[in-house]
Amino acid sequence: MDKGKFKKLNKYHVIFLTNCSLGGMYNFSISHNLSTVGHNLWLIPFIYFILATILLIPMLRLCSHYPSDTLYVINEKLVGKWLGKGVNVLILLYAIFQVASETQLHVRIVQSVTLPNYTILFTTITYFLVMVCIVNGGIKSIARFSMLAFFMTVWMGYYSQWAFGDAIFTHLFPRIEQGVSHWILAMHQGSHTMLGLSLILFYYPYITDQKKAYKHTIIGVLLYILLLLLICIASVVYFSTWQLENLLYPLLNLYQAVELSNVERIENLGITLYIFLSLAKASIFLWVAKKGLDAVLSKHKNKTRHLYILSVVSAFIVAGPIPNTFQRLAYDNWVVYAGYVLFLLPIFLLMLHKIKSRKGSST
Amino acid sequence: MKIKLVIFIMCISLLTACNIQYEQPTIENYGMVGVMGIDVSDKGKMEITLTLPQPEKDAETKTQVYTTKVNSPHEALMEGSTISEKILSTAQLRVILFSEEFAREKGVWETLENLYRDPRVGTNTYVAVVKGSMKEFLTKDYTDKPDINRYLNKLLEPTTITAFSPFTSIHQFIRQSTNRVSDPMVPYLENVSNESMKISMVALFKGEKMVGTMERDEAKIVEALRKNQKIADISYVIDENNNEERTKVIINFVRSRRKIKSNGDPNNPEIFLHVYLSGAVIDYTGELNLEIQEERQKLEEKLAEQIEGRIVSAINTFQELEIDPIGIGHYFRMKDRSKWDKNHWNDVFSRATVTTHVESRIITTGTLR
Repeated sequence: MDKGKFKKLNKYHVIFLTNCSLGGMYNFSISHNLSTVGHNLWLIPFIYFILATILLIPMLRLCSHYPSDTLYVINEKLVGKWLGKGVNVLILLYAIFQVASETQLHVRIVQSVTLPNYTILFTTITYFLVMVCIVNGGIKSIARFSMLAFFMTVWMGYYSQWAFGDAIFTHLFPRIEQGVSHWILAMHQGSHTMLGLSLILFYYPYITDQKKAYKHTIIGVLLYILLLLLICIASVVYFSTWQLENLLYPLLNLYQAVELSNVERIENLGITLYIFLSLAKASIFLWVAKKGLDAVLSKHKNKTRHLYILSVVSAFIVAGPIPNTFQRLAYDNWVVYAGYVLFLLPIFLLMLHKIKSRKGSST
Repeated sequence: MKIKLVIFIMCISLLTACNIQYEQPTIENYGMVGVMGIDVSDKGKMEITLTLPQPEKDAETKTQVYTTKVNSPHEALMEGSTISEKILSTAQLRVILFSEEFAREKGVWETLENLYRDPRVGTNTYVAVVKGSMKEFLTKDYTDKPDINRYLNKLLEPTTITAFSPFTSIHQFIRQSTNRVSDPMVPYLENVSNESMKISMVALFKGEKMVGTMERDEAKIVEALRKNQKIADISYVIDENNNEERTKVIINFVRSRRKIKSNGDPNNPEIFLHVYLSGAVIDYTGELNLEIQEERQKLEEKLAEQIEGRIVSAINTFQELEIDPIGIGHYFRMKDRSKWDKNHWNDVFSRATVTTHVESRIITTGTLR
């Protein structure tokens, strides 16, 4: 772990940590996940952005009241020691399943496209070995890796020009045929990409310029939303609604459209480079899980062995003999609903803080 | 701590030896199928012919060919692998051919969907329809051509001279047949001699089945209507002076622009097609002096009339077949607020009044007047 000063994240670290905590491998399936609204799906990134700007307000308001504490400490302070620990355990489980979910998606895509003759075990072990090395360096190491991940992958947006070359632009015409329930379902199915936003609650105490944290976080979100918008627009103009509904990884097919004179099957390069984004996102969640285990077992004291324990547990969830139905239930339902709770938790904690501070001032 | 980590990694490495390992094939063990030809067979099966480049220099033929009677394309690969010394793979599949009989009777959807599902098959793989027997088509000796895999792949690559052809890939076929507006078209190939094949026409599909063909000259204009692009050279025979003598003109189109408008009323549908073409005269056998503005204008008007006639003829065919390969429905759909699906559009399109207007401009007459 980084043993330097406590506040160590500058504005660039915050921007890219936020950026990489969103999306990850779910970028590959986002157009499919949003497909219940048909070709109107390109409007959803705008809604996500508006929601993100609103949801960040209570999160950062809460953090500003406790500038040196992570959410784990805030929970114990506001909810009480034992109830707080209970909530922390739930957050810890959420973070473990998020790590497993991101890893699982990556290794599955690698297995089905790049290494179809191999099982996922070896890929999972190597993936976790790299992740442990990243997280072992602390939040600053993850932030630096996130910056690397961003610049290693953002240029691949250039390849969208092949999709636009064979585009039907009339698909973009917003023909709002679906009802509200379809829109809500689409946003729910695509919400995996935005759940990482709440991780600011954990790395906020490490930010140097906390007053500008909102601005820097929004820049990070905006960078991701622009990427998401590019993926959505390229998918809408390139695919029919049937393709969006039936293709599991539309981004993969967008890469397959690329025709270069010297390189074939560029999607393999895409998947390989996307390991940076996937590792960055999973590392942030693993770091959050480690902080959670520190909070639960060692009174917030840093213990490196917790990182190894959590890695083994997460790897076991991914590659162990866990029934597929359980995995699907955990990744597609529990993780998402827990993510929503984590978005709403700061509002509840803010109310508790208000009540407590009023009580404190009246006595 | 480091020692523990080293021991842990060593244990993991040793554990991998407990797993029963089959030898993973190397690239040399694979036979990369280049062309897959599908024809009808008895008992509801399909006859699939696979061709792959011959890796052995000493072999007599340039191509390995395997024909099997199976139920699905991947079954053909499995069967082929048991005959060949190679493990057949679809990773380099470039062309999928359907015999006309198969495309008309069975339909191509199920086969293409299975290949689309396979991530090893590139979505840019070309699809075409072939006249006659597939096996015969693929086993012919095209002696003055490269091996059939490269020959077919090159033939189906878009070039200016064959720009009348839609050059449909798997992705495009699936997109066209599954969107709620248009229908697919694919190149139609036939043998012209014992040593060559050519893209002779364009095959029209309604859903998954082939329903007709379109001649090259009409197909060129349809391509111009599908998107703004440079289209292939077109030859016209026009009646220049309203007498029996016919004049031949070949135009090299430099640019084509099209505008599609509709009233969006499904009860009384009206569609307006406006096409603007500009090009250079390559061949001209008439007597007009094309340097004089009025005479050049006269030729332009005659050309516009001819092109308009071809558009009307193509649209009539589409309306009769109730198909929309141009994708006019995209424009109609923007204004029509009623519940939309393909049947709705097929019905509306077949009843629509289509008005066309063509403007042609001769921008140069070469180095002669």
